[in-house]
Amino acid sequence: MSEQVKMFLNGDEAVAWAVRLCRPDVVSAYPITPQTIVVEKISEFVADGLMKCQYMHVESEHSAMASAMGASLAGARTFTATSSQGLAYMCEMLHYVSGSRFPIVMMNANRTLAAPWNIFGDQRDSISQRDSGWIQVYVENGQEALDMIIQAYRIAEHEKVYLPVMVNLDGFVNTHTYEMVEVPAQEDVDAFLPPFKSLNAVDFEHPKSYCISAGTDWNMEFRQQQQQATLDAEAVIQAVDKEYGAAFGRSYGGMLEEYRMEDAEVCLVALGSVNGTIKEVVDSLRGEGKKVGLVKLRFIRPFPRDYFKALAGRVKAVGIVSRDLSFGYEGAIGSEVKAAMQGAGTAVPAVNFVAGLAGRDIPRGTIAEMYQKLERAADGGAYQDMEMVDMRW
Amino acid sequence: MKGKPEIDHSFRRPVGAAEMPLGPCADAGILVEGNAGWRTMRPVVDREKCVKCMICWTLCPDGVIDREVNIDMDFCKGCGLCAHECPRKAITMVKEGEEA
Amino acid sequence: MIQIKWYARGGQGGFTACRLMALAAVKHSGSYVQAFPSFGPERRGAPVFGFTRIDERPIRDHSQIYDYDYAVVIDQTLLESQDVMSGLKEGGTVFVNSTRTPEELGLTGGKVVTFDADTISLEILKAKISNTAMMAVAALYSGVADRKGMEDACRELLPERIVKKNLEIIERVCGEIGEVRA
Repeated sequence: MSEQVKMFLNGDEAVAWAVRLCRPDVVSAYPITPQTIVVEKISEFVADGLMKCQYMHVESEHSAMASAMGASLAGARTFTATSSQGLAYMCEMLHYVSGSRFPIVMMNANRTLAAPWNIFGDQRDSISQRDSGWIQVYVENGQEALDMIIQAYRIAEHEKVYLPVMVNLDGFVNTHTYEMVEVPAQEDVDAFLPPFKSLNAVDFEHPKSYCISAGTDWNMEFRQQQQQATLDAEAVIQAVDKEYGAAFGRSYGGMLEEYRMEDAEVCLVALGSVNGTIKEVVDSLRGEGKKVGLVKLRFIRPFPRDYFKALAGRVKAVGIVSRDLSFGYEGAIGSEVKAAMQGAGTAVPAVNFVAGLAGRDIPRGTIAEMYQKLERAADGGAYQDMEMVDMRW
Repeated sequence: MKGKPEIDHSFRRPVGAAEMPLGPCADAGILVEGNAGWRTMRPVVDREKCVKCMICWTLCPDGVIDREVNIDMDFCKGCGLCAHECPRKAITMVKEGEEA
Repeated sequence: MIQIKWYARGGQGGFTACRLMALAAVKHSGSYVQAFPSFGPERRGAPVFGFTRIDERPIRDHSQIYDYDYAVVIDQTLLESQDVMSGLKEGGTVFVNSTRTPEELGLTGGKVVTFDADTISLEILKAKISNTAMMAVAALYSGVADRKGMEDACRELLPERIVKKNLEIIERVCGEIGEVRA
């Protein structure tokens, strides 16, 4: 492996560098805060001749995904990026792409959805699209963002998968935070990610009809196939992560990362940047002798059902930190973790902590309080199924 | 200043869920606080020189000059356009905290 | 871990100073760093806050900075609306771009160093962009980066056409304060 260059980059720039290294044939771009730096940086690379790809300026996010799909259909390795309102705008196209089995990679800057309007980060945008058939991963920092874009293409383009992958960064906290990031050499990325040879692109020698309709008599078989591919992605995710670790010296545990879980009595489950803060709190509480741990959930689709089923037998209380809220119920991933744990048949107290919506900070003190509540629940104390933390009232 | 709402200094944001509006909306046409905190220069009008030509009134981007050429310091940002455009040089920009 | 909060208005390069400081620390001692902004609606003149974290181990904390070891106030008019002292940790220092004394600025309850960065910036840049000068002041007093670290950071981070003038600014500040102050 050649030397990796240390650069001072924010999360958006790290993504742009990763995209450059993946040599996409087509990038379709529509800007939206806090993703703008991604598409701006890529446009600079293209303008300077450092990236050889077609850069399409489109008029909306719906067009960004539609054109990305068209490009993928033509056999191009494709990239786009969006956030929040943009993700919502392209919603129907997300389903089109996944259902049609095009291995597009998209970066999503997690930002809340209006109304009320707000540019800051939470995960309501991508979590509300968890049914769209896209594989979804959530990263903790800029380095992981860079690494996961590269891994995403390997996962998406794997013949057992052939599904689009969404790489999520927390808006501003990841996208606009500068850290030193190791950028791999082009030749090493080329070795890890060979040129794209589409399995389903248009071929004049073997013409096909695409995006055909499927009636009530055939539709569910396509969905069964899509479901199987998404489930099969789990093994691919693990394998790619391992291979990436061998090639570049960094791996992340695949579907999830356990932090100090070996003898943990209570644990939190979280997505994205807050995991970094939680790790600090875990270390601090462990220093006080508390047996606490963290499950950094990375992929929500596919969902690691069996892991959480087993978790129910290992800990005495679980808290799920949700930067989203499905109104009328609770944080959606909170529900999913709880449901998977229920599958074990044991009743483990599980609390959904809804926090950090629209960029509200999640300080270390708040996380420590979450662990305190979990300890009380583990001891048989009262707890709430869901609570919104750090509220005015 | 004529024809402009006064700042309602008694305005307070909701205290408690019961005081929240229905959805993200707010009363319009009211002023609840000034907005001049970053002004570093302020305009000073020399009444002897001013002929009420109304060019400053026309050009002020914030609309804080009235027809009597009174300047509302609660909102003047100190951009200096008025001083720059005044044909009689009747307006001078003075550093905040200093006398004219 | 060292935490620094930057106070500036939009257009004054506050966040650039925040990043320069971080990169200078990396160049100087190979530290792990984090630099991030916090702002409301973007417009010239609006307050912009920057946060720099510097540590000898990887920085995992992504929460906001509430208590800081150093604060750098690039625009002193912000003191009217911002309480810069309450977040200052014990033993910390606030650096203010001003010709006035801490007493005249009404700042009590912690160590305050004032420095006339505007004069140097006006002279060298012909504009009151005092971000680099104040970054240099804070770096030298805190020991977070030395002159070479700051210069390397400028060369890497700033557009080429302004690097030379910013190096001049650093040289002048070093001359006035002394290269190693911490």
